[in-house]
Amino acid sequence: MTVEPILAARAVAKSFGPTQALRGAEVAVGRGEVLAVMGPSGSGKSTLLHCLAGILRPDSGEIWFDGQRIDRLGERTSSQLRRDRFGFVFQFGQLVPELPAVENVALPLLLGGQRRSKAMAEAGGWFEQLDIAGLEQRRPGELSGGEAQRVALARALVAAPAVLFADEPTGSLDSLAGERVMDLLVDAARSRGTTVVLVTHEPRVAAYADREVVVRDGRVSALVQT
Amino acid sequence: MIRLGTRISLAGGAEAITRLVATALGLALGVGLLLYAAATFPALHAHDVRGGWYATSAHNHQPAQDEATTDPLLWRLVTDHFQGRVLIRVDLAAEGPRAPLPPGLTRLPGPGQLAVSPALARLLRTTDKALLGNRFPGQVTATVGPAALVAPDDLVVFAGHTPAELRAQPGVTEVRSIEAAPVSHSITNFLRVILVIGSVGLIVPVVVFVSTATRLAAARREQRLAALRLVGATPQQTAAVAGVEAALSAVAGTAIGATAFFATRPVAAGIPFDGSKFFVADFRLPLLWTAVIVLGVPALSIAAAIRALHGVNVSPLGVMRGAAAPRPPSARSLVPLVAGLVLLAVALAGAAGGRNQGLLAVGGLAFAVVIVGIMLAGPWLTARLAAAMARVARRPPLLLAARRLHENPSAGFRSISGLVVAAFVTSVFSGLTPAVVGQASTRAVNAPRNQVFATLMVLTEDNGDGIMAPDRAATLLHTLAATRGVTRVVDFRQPPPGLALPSETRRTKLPQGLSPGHHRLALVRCADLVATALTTCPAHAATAVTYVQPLSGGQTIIASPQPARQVPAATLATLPLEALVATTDGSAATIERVRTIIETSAPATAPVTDADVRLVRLHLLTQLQRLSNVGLLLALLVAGCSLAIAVSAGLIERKRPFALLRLSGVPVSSLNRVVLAEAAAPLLLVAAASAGLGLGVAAMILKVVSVSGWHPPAAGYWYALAAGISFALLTVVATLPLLKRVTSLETARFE
Repeated sequence: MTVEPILAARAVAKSFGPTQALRGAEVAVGRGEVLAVMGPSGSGKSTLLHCLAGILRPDSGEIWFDGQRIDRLGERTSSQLRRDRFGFVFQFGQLVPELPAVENVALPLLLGGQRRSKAMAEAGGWFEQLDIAGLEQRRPGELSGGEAQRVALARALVAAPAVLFADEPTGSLDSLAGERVMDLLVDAARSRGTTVVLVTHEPRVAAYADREVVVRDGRVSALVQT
Repeated sequence: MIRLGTRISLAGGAEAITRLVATALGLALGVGLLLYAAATFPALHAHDVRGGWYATSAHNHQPAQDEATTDPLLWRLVTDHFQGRVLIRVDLAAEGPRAPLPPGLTRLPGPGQLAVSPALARLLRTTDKALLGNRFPGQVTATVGPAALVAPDDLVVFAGHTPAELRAQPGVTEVRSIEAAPVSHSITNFLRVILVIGSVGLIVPVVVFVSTATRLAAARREQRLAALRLVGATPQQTAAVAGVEAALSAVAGTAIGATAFFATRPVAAGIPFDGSKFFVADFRLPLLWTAVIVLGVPALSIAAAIRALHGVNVSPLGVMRGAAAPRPPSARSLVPLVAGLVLLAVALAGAAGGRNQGLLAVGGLAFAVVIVGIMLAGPWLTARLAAAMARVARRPPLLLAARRLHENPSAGFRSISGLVVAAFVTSVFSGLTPAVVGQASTRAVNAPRNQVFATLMVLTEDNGDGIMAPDRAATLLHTLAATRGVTRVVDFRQPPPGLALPSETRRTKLPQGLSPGHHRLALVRCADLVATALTTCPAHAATAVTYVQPLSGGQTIIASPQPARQVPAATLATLPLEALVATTDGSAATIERVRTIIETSAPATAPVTDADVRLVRLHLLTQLQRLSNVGLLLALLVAGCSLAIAVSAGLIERKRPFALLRLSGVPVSSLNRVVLAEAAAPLLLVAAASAGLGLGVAAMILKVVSVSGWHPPAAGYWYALAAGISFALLTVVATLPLLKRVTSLETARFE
């Protein structure tokens, strides 16, 4: 599959004290591509995702997004980039516990300055698509793990990000709920042309991706075409 | 379990120790303040007890000696002044070997001997005699001990005379005992109610603070307890471990607080928060209250730690917070507040009806119920506010704040409850005191500050009126007029017998402030009277007859001058002198020199300036206001610290969602606004409501007990309220670096 890269890491190295998490990692993600980053625990796959997302600044190497080098951006620009162009889904606990589900989903739009009524309407639309209609007014504590992840997915996608970063999105779910979340995640991304960077150590989850890379000892050492 | 709990608490390394120390220091502050609150009443009472002998008279309420067994003592106490300080001068002469001995003396000073307080002794050594020492000539032979001194720096002198010498002077009373009853304030009950209010206002924020400080370590503690559950501990055992951990910091905090109390007493004793400094020993702790504090604070802390576990289910797999929101407060939570207000109104109505018995108890109880009512109604008001905020919120910070407050209004209110109670109590206090101050102020003379008043008339039933014969008066007036810095001396003369007075001065209705039986009439040259700027003189009159009344505080009322054409101005010098007003250049030296000259000629006289009058008359009220301000400052300080801790604990609890929000690109400034809005919205609304309620309660009290009409609080109150709220908001701002730290990207990665 030949795709135009939208996001790329070039010779990225990152250390935490004496521990070298990344040692010259190279990876490129095409526009609209779903990339799975696999690897054993402690291999550096989450560090790679965080560098790609502008959360961590590499010690050396470069990160490019949509033709712009982003690894030297300031905090403000980097935050704005993450808010406007990226979406995030984590393993658990990213929802604000006091907000009803629909307001959690609307949060990125509100933060972007959208009117509340419009933001709520837009957020409400995602509940039907992600098969969680009727849960709009529930608070995170009243949702099951799978439901909460779907709300988190809606929140990650509501601002139409160019890239969705998902870090072990099914890590806290049973296999059935995990599959349901992955189905929805991949379908939603594909239907909108959203690029997905998916960190997982589960081959079953990685199987949803267009392409898999394996991080081992800080290097992207294997490339497998699916 | 105690050993295990201790090991777990202390074995957590530097972080655990830091947490314990921080909690212990918080509790130490609370304990220290509570101990000071408990010691304040005995300290104030000590002032009253030691000042009781000032009221010694022929008819003492509580004689210190058996009057049947003592010899007479000639006694004259004059409240003099020196450079803005009160100077108590007692002239005495024993008429027998068994004459009563005043406190602070080991023997009575003999004729020509002086016993002076240490502060006065220092002053006499360093001050020109013409300014002070000449007022009581004699040899200093003894030092007045602490038993006679309200404050360590009080100026007191006992001057010995021969009985014959003293009997010839005005203002002297024969006493057979010294008064031992403590100073009785004219508004004692009112004062006590206010002090009770003030104490409650301080204690509630401190209790909230103690409870909050204990919760500081709650989040981390829960994680450790979950690990214990995993290895088989029962919920009761985990509660015991939590209790032990809280007890460690509580016991340490109590010990530190108590040590700090005793260590800082010398500093506190030097603060004249009721207008006079204290002896260190005045801050003694009542046994009961000490026991309540020393045992109660650790108990409260342990209870708060165990109670904090009720909100969470510490399971072997970790800590799960309740999924369901706490039950929202209902309007029924307003019932105690309304009941308290009704009870207060009933108690006040009883007092107004003359049934004073039990007023203090019922009024205090009602007030306590009102405060509890505020604590219970606060969450309801916060919930209503949060619902309204959520409806109108356009921006995420306000929406997040509103939702969090609505989710748990009790927690939201708890963090500001100390401040809210302080605002309420201070508002009641500040609503009451201006009314009383205003009542007193209406009687004050607005005289120029460079004038010295001397009323030679003496308020005594025993020993003449003390007016000065014309020849001695001439010498005194001449000496004063020749004194450097004196610009004018106005003399008020006794009208000659049989003088036909204008009808105006014979009217039955006296000018405001004058009392029947105590005022006199005096003749004065109109040109002089006008020059004093105290009052005007009738047109075309050379001489006026005016009311003159000395008041107990040294103040002289000069009012309603009428023409006295039948008395030529030139003849005034032949009449006895009743009073005089010396206008000076305003310098302290001139004023004190004038005082000394007058007192040398008229020892029963205590010449005063307008500043002295205000000092004496408003002394009690000044005490109240100072106490109010000190209480308010402490309460606000404590409440601000509580708020900071509560906000910090809230941040730590929400570390993960906040960190992940920031990681997703939410700027930290937005999160800052969330935290500020959460604290500021209920703080501003509920504090405003409490302040309004407090002023309303004050108005109700004034209306029912009819002390005086309603006066708006002084500017100082509004400044203090604004400063308190600003301080609280600043404490919230001070926690924002913590938010930045706990949500830093480095931290968030590992969430």
